[in-house]
Amino acid sequence: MFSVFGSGRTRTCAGLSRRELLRVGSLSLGGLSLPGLLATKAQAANPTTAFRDKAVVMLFLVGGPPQIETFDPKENVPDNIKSCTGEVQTALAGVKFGGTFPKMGARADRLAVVRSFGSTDGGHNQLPVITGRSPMKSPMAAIVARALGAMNPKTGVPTNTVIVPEAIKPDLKLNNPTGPFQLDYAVKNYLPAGGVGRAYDGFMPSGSDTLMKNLQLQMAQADFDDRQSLLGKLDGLKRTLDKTGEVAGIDAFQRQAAEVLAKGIADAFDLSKEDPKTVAKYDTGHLFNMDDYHKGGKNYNNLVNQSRATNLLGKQMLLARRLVERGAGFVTVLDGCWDFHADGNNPSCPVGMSFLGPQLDHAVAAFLDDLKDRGLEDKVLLIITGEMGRSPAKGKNGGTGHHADITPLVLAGGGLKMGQVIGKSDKTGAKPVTKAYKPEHLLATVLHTMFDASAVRTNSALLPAEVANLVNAGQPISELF
Amino acid sequence: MSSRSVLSTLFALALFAPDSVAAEPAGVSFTTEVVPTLTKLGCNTGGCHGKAEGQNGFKLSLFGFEPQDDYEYIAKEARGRRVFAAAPAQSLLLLKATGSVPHGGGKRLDTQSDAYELLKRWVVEGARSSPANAPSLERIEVQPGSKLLQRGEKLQASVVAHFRDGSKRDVTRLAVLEAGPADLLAVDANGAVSAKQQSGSATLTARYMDAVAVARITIPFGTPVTKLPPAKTVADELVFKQLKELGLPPSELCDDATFLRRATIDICGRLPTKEEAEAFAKENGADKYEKLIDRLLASPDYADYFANKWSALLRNRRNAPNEDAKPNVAFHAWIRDGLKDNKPFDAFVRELLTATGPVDDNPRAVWYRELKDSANLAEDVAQLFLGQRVACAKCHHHPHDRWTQGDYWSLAAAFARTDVQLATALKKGDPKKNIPDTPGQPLTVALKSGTATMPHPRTNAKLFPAGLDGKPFALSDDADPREKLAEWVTATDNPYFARTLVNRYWKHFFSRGLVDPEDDMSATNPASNPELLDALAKRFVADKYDTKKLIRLICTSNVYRLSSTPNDHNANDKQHFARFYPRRLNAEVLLDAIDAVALAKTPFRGVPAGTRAVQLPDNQSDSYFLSVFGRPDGASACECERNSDANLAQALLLMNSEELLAKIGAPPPAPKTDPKAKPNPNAGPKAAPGERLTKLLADKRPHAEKLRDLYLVALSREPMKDELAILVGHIEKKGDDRAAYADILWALLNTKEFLFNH
Repeated sequence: MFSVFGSGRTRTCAGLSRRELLRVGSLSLGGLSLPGLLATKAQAANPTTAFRDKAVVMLFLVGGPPQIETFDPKENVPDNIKSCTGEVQTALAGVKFGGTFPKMGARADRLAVVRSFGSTDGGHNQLPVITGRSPMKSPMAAIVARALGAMNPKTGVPTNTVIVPEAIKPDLKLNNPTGPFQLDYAVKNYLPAGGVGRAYDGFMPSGSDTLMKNLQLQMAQADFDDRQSLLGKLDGLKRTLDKTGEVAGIDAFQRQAAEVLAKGIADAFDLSKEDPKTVAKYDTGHLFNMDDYHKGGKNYNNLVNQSRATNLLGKQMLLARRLVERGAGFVTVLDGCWDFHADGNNPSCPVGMSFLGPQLDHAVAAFLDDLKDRGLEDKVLLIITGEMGRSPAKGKNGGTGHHADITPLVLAGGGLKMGQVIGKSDKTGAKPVTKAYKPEHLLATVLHTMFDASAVRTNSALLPAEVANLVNAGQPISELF
Repeated sequence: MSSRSVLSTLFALALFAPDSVAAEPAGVSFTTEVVPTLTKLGCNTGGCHGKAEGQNGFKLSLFGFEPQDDYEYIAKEARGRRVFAAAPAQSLLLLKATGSVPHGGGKRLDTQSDAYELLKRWVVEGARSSPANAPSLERIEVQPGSKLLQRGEKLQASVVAHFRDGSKRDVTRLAVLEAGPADLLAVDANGAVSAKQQSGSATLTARYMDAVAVARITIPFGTPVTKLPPAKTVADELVFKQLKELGLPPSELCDDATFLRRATIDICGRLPTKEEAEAFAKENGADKYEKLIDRLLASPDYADYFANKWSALLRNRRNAPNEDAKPNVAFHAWIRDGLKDNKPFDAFVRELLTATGPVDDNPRAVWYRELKDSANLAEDVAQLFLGQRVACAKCHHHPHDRWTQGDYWSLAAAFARTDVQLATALKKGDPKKNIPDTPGQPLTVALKSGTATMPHPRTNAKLFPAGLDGKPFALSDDADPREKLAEWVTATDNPYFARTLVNRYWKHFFSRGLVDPEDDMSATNPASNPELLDALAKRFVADKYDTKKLIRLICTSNVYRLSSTPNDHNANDKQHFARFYPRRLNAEVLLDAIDAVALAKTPFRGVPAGTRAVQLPDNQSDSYFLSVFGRPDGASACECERNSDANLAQALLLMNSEELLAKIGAPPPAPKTDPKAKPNPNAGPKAAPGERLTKLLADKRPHAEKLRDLYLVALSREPMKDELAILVGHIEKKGDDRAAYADILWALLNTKEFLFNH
């Protein structure tokens, strides 16, 4: 049983003694910690460790995806509110999805659809959902990294990674849309770790953040070898220092750093290492020609904000699977652009859904099947959401406005209760009529999936104090547990 | 009357009328046997049925602190299915606990166990409640008390409960027993204690109903201690005394260079200069150590470094870099000036606790701004100055200490009249409509009128300001209750105040508190050397809370001069200070140290040029380096916020970052990434290139002399012969001085000797 007294002398605050730090292991602080390196195996079997060996993939539909055309279509409503893509019956009796989601619908028994979720912000501000409105203004992914360490101790794979289309095609030259759809905006919003400390910054394979840079050797390998050998000789002469346990850890990290630098973590990000059959299952490239929707393409029509919409989502999801399989803790996949104003910069709802909908359907279905095949279904929690939903009524041109009160939210796997619809929106999909779930509930859901909340509640020293506080104070979406 | 207030009244009766007691009916007692059994089985922890909403419809009071409520939950709710007198074994309580029907918490109880028998017997006897006025528990004791055990030795402990009617009984099997540290001592549920194969000090803790008791178990190392350095201070006397008792021989005294570096880092937060290192090596006289400590304490660097420490603990922070820094700079200056002038610690605390007025006159308002309400203020006062973590008692009886909700809210009541008025912006008027501008108001700490009181969250009774001893302050109507609080906190007979500070400072110098964690000085977390803690506290009071004198006492002790190199016996010691425990330089000190070696300057936003990292006024100088090395964010009163762990990101930074490579003056790396890639808007300011490399190359003296200087700067010592051979050999082999010296700087900054204070 979990001890009332914690273990030994550690109490509510994370005032950890050295011993506790050693025991708590890689769940302790600051990137990858010593014990994580020395005792990963031992602590996997340690029952007092709070980490439940789970991972999260958050598929973020940038722009404000419509709730009605995705997972909450309405019937017996005026035509301008009805799903402009029709409906499909799902595997769950009486539950329909928007017309472009037959594959997800067929797998609805493996999904939990939350129809009473609202992002709280109707202005393209992605931070409320990304951060789960955490008091330290840290993305959920960074909070997870704070608890697990910035990198997986065994594989060197970053805990917190953000996958943009450029991660699949580094030579991709997308035009720059406006405001919140720019790559810069993503870099500014998804990567900085906020209050938990920059050691936990997100890692964007195509970006240029400090950790990513430090992971690529900044000098000739021969010079690096020279320096290491010199360091080895100098340290070797002062071996007495090594006799104290306090100092020994540094060696391990220096060795690990050298290894990571030498072998790179490139493999994890390299889809050419993947079985072509698997790649083909995920691939969404055949669903539409993205050039048609970019500048100069036949479907472009000056819709600037489509510039970052790509047909690469399938492969992005495959990359996410590679990463969680190699020990990533929280992978964010960004897909754009779901802003359907029909205003010259943005497509209408029918146009946007016509190419983004089937791609989402296909990529998610492939991901779900793959996880199931690999026995990762319960290990990985998939979250599909965006920064807001859309106003239910479509205008004359099929455009819709921003809408904060209802935001699409679908979850899958993670060992949570699937095959259900949670909550209900009103007749037109404008407001929740059951308990309104908010980003903080999503954050708590993530944390209670990743960590053993009961263990943390009785021994908050199992996690860094700020994470333990969030676990303890958090109210997850109760129907999932 | 609600059932809750009825219960509270009954409870109050039990507390305040110990004389009017009724004998429990014969048989199993609900309060003294059933509830403790559920506690021991773990049913009522916060993760299970003890949480506020219960678990799957069955709720228990947290850790069984409200047995009257528990009786309702168990015997009355769920239409009586939980206890079933007609067929006791079919009671849901037993079926669930034994896992006979599906139970989320698994099988907790064996049908063959005594606990099962006890619960069943209680049901058979009619599942009776205990009379509200049954004799209440006075205390428990663990027998035997403090004791010496040999490695591997076993012992049967017992727990005896003393009731207020004078009766006592053995409750070993009902008490929750814990032993630790785990590699020293173990205890099973029946009180069988076994010492493991490691020596040291361990504790055996027992908890029963709302009482806790602790026994200290010492497992001696058993090596005769024949050679001890002379005892120069009371710290020496008492540490050495304990080492002799334990049979734990201390390491030798360290060499002078190590001591100079150690003390300069710990007191001034910087490396000694080359000149200081040379002078100290030459200095003669038995009192050279005392003189060094005095010099260091007199230097402004001392105030800078300890202001850095206190600034984080006192939450001198902003939430964003664009917030007005003026109040934070002023608060930092107030802290630093107090340290520079050696303001007695009681005065420092009194000024903080009674701060009133707008932030311009009263920069301490920053502390109030960050804490906002009376509960937070009370928690920080308890944690910072009394070494008590009372936060649990905000919502329920503290599970491993004596604090009640009444204690908590009475302490908070001292801040009930404190009114933290946040700064407001200037409101533009409309000249056309003749509406003038409304000027903004500065952050202000004001005092509300009225009587300072807080409602008890359960009973709603009015609680008046009191210290943790529970005695309400004598307050005249218009008195600021914080004055009385400050008076009580800093009183020479306050049992917590002096001990907390001396323990906190002991930890600063020795990496481990006499009580550790240093802000958890509860009964169940005893000091590793109680005599020493008492002696230091007594001296601190006698010295009128003079912190410099305290530091002088600690740092001129021979204990502080012990080498970190273990002997054959003390390598595993982490509790008794038989050797110095090395620790990594903290983030700010390390960054400054690297700059000192590389002759580089790290630019920080928003502070005067040349400001070193330890001098930064608050948390908002963006630095990847400081963040990765665990600088605290000033978001809690816990020193644990500073993270001294090693991690991979640090190793990568020191071995392979643009920042470090620029500091050592290496040529910029060839751009490997897309030249068109946009710079990361979140990257910190660029590090200025260091000048050391250029200076070394321009210096025409022989390599050995230049390397000697470099070693004095980085390690405060001269290089050994072998080291010189390696380094000169490297230079000659490389055939490129620039590259070779860059290699040497790189390697030196990555040595353990450099990264650690040892």
